[in-house]
Amino acid sequence: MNTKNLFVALVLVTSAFLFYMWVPDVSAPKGGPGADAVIPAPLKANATGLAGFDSLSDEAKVSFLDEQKAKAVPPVLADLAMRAMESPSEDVRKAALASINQLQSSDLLPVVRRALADSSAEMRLLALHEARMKTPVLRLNLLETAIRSEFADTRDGALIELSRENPKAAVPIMMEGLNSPDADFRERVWQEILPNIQALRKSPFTNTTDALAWWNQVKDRFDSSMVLLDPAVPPSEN
Amino acid sequence: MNLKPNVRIGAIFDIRLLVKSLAASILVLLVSPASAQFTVPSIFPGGTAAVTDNSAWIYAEINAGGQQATVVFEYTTDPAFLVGIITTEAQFTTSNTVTLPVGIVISGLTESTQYFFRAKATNSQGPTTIGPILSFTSFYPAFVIETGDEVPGNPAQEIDLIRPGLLGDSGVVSLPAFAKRGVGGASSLNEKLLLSGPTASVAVAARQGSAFGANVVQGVFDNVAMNDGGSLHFHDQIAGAPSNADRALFLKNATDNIISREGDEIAPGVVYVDNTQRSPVAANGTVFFASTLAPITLGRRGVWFSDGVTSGTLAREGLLAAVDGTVCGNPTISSLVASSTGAAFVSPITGGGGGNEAILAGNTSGALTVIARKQDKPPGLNPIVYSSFRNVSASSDVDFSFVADLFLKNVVNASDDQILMSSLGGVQTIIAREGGAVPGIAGGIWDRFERHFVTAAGDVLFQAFLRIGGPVTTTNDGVLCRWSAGSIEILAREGGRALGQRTSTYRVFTNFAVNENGNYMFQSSLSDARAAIVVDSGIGQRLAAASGGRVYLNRLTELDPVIFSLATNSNLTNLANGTGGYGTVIDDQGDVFAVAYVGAGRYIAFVF
Repeated sequence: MNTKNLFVALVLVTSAFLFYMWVPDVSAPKGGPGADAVIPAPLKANATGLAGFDSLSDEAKVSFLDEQKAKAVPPVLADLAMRAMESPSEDVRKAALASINQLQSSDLLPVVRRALADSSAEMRLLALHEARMKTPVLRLNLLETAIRSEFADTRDGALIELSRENPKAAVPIMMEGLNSPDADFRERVWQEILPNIQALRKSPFTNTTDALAWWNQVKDRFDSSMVLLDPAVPPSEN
Repeated sequence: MNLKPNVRIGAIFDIRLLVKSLAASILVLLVSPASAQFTVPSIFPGGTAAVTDNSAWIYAEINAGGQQATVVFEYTTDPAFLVGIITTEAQFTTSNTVTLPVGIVISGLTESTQYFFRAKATNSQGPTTIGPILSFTSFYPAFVIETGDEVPGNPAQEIDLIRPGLLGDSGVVSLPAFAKRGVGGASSLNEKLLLSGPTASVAVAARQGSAFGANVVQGVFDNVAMNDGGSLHFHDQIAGAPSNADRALFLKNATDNIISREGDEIAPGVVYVDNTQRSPVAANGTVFFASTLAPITLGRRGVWFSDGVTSGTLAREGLLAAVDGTVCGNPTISSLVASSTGAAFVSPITGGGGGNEAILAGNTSGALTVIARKQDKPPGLNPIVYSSFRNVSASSDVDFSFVADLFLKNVVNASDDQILMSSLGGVQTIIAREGGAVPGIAGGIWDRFERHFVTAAGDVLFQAFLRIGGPVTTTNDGVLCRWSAGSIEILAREGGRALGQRTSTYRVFTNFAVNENGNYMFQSSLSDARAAIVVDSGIGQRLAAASGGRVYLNRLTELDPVIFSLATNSNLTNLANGTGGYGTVIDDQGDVFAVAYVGAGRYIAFVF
């Protein structure tokens, strides 16, 4: 190492030491174990905060969303994520979706629904993946949205996910797919429904309304695995 | 003692199949070239079903090798298979080349005794093939309670509806039930019961509208959990209390305590405001519960613990979490699991080694440990990093499994970003990654990972789905797996032939639970519109119960009732639930608690 490089290294080390001594340590607690540390304030739910978000660069928006994931309360985070979902940048929209991935409350529903309707197939796939990590109530709610999607990949993805759900919970949501304008998809929906209900019905439904009306009449005859509780009672085709 | 086997024709014997198979065999003989090759029979592990104190259906999976084979079973109580061997009457296979179960009912068994059995098969091609030795223990299921029984402690009232519940390692069960309205004073105001106790003598642990310690509970019985010793706790509301002090976490013991109650002071002027959330219990009885404090803002959310005598803070938003300077954020409550003595959870973090999210774990004795941190690189995947953690399972304070999302711009995408990891003693290992090949399944690609359980031995049992495409369809995409010593074994697959069935296949796995020894149970709907519960308590899978089968009650007064429907508790075997101590449907001995519906409004709770 020549003298010039040694001098530069010495200056850098000294500067780093002085900076370390000067910057307050926000990560360590003050006053011994159990004392409160300083956490930066979360985003406030007001127009100024959200408007300020709009003025950020895409890269800064991604960082901000990642930062707020750990700080903002669910409704505020969901509002922010919804705002970010309007961004033309797919990176920002992905960050918005990722920012709500620890939420297990209904706050997340509008964000994931928006992502399920995104023009990007990758976003729609991420949204389906997000949906399936949620609690059953939220998951089924989102899959109901997805099976009605105008996008074939999202409808197909929803049907696959529903085939993996508790059969009794999935059947009425699958029935939503019977209103699809895609005849091939309607047939696949029926083929998923049929093994569950064939003890009582073997003829296809022509639309969601009829299917749900039939379902509401007979659903109490099945247990949660779609095993018929009263096989002695005659089938109900109507 | 009558040791002569009382042999009945195997339950799977079907004359139509035999006729079809014979016809097919003749056809094959007519059209086959003279050089057609037959082989000696092959025998694969089978199992048992319909086990009682004195009888069992035993079977083996046999490929007859293309010619009819003669099959006998041998069974004995001698594990070395040297003495006391009883040989059954001969069974005959069809001349198939497909592996199918061949079974027989044996009786005259000694109660509560371990038996060993094996199949022997022979055809004209050569020497006798001897199958592997399997084992079972003769026993009657332990009856718990059924519809029409007296409400324990209240002979004037009757049990009506029964829900599936929990089973502790000490043989203690707990289950929700309802008293029959209009009988003995039961009404909508007092019908909800929480029963608990040894299987032979459950008692009312809590009742809607009745005193629990010094309070009257409303009968919500939410988040019921039980430790290995059978100690029970649950969330409920206190009748008549103001809305800011009515929710509490109750502990069932001699004095029926409250662990924490909304409105209780944790520090001068600082009170709990939310006592309704997930509260797993460690094997040693320590209850971990998430709550919120008021009227503060900093440090208002966290996880606390109580062993019934002392209590403390496991983690608190804004406070130092780990010795490396990591500060905890607001813990993700849905991820909170208990282990042998501690708990683990996903949480936002600041400080420490960087990243703003981590899996944290600890116990009542000190600081938390960072198990995995966002921006860490999973082993072998550099420069890919963790971007988020979904859930965690814990078997001890140092052994975990978890599901994470991965990130690397323009490299990782939505089709390969999920990963299932183990962290054993601080060493992380990749178990499986979305988009990777599934061992042993041609064309199988991992799509996503569901429930996972790390065992005391460091194995990880998990439920996963395969990506749809090619040979994988919605009828065969679900699998149950065991990861052990670096390799993955498929325990069961949707679309696969169900245990001991000739044609029925698994349709949807509706429950999966694992104990800390790695024993497991799963419940599945079958392709023939039935449901089955399969258990492996360390000696191979057995068909523990199935609709269409019977509940063996060992009563002289009635035939064993036929099962219409089966239910097991899945509410508390949550995603990535820790195995240790958090009451589930399978105990550490491999026994399983279920409720059978046998028609006419009659429910029977039993352990088998």
